[in-house]
Amino acid sequence: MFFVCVASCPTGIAHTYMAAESLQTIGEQMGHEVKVETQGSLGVENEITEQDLARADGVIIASEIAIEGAERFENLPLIECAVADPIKQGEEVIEALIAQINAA
Amino acid sequence: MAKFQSKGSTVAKKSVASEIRQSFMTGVSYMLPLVIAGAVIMGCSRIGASFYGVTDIWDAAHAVSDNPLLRLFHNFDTIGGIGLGLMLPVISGYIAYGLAAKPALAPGLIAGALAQQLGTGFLGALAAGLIAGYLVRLIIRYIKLSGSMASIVPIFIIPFGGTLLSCLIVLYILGDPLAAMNQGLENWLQSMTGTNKIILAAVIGAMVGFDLGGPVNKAAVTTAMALLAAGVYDPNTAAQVAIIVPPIGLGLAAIIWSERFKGSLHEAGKASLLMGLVGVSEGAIPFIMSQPKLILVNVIGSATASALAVGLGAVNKAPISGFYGWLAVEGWVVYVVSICIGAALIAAGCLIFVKPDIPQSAQ
Repeated sequence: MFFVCVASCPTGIAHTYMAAESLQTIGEQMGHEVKVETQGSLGVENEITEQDLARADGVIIASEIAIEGAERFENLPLIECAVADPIKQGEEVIEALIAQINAA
Repeated sequence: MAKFQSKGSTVAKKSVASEIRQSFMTGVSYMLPLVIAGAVIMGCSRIGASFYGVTDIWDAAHAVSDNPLLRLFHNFDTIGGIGLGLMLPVISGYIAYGLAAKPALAPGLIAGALAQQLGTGFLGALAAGLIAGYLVRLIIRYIKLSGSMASIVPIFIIPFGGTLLSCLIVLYILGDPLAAMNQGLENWLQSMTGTNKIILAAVIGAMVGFDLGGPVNKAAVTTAMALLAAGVYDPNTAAQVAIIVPPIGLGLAAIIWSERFKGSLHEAGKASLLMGLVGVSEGAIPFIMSQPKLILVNVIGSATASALAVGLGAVNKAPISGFYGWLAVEGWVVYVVSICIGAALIAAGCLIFVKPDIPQSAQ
């Protein structure tokens, strides 16, 4: 499956990127394709495009703050979690999203 | 096990408390670069001026000083002051943004600036942001115009009506009580002496060391900074000490005891030490991620260092924690010694909690 994710934290220098790396690696280990947009202190990086959205199966938002462009994901299965969750329990986060997709 | 929120439940059921928390964090997130910009530029001005024995560089007399450098430092102070002056409007604006996105930003900024003018301090700015955010959300939900009229809501009704209503609430309902509360809080903190002062410093230090840039840390640091603007220095001194103690302590430990901190954590130690020296506590995050018990060590180290610094009479009047601000601190010797003691405590704590035989997660 293909997941798009947004990672963001208040300061935007540590957690954001740790969560992004975690989602990327764990997602790929589980055999999925993952694209993580980071909204850190440098603003939006690795932005999720229209094409990404068109073929995405689900969305993970790992953030402590209000993210930019949340309305992009309105019609997709979506999981929201704390920015630390993917770092501590990445598999559970991704499994929760898969459960959500299967239920939909 | 944390429950992750799925969409169906979130939109409707996200609790008010978590929503408010998230909006506060959004505000802090956007405010932070302003604080750093303002504080560091202002700090440069004070440090520079101190070389010429000037302790009131903000005084208008220095604008026409014979010394061109003092004139420059006076201008630095002005620039830094503008940065810090935007702190409250911006946190209010982005709290509103966190609750109701783009349309809430203008009402939040303006209501925040008003709250600042009314002398309601940090509390007022938080309240102004919440009011503007929720008000704009209500307008979006209940004022529905059809067809070609629909665009009037975001382009006219929200900027005009949302702002005016938010400001009227701040002005006529919240202004006086919040200003009184803020004044009371400042007076109370300013009148604190002896043991109370030390306990306050320890509590602030503990909060700052607890989650390293997380919500508890930010609550303590931003409150301290707001009080600083009001001329209450002890909370700021405590916070600035506590910010850098964990990354320095853990960084030192990781460098000294490489057999206990393997692989990436050893590398993280160098980064952590460096980040600590320039005043960024987030450098210590990789350590508490891999060994959550270290949170306790950080709390103890930060609280001790803050209590020592404030108790021994150090006064940091700038919101700067990095080494470049140390010399500008009144009583900088005790200040630096306190930081060293706190960092040493944390490094020693690592000997207890990080065993050499436990393999570290090589994240």
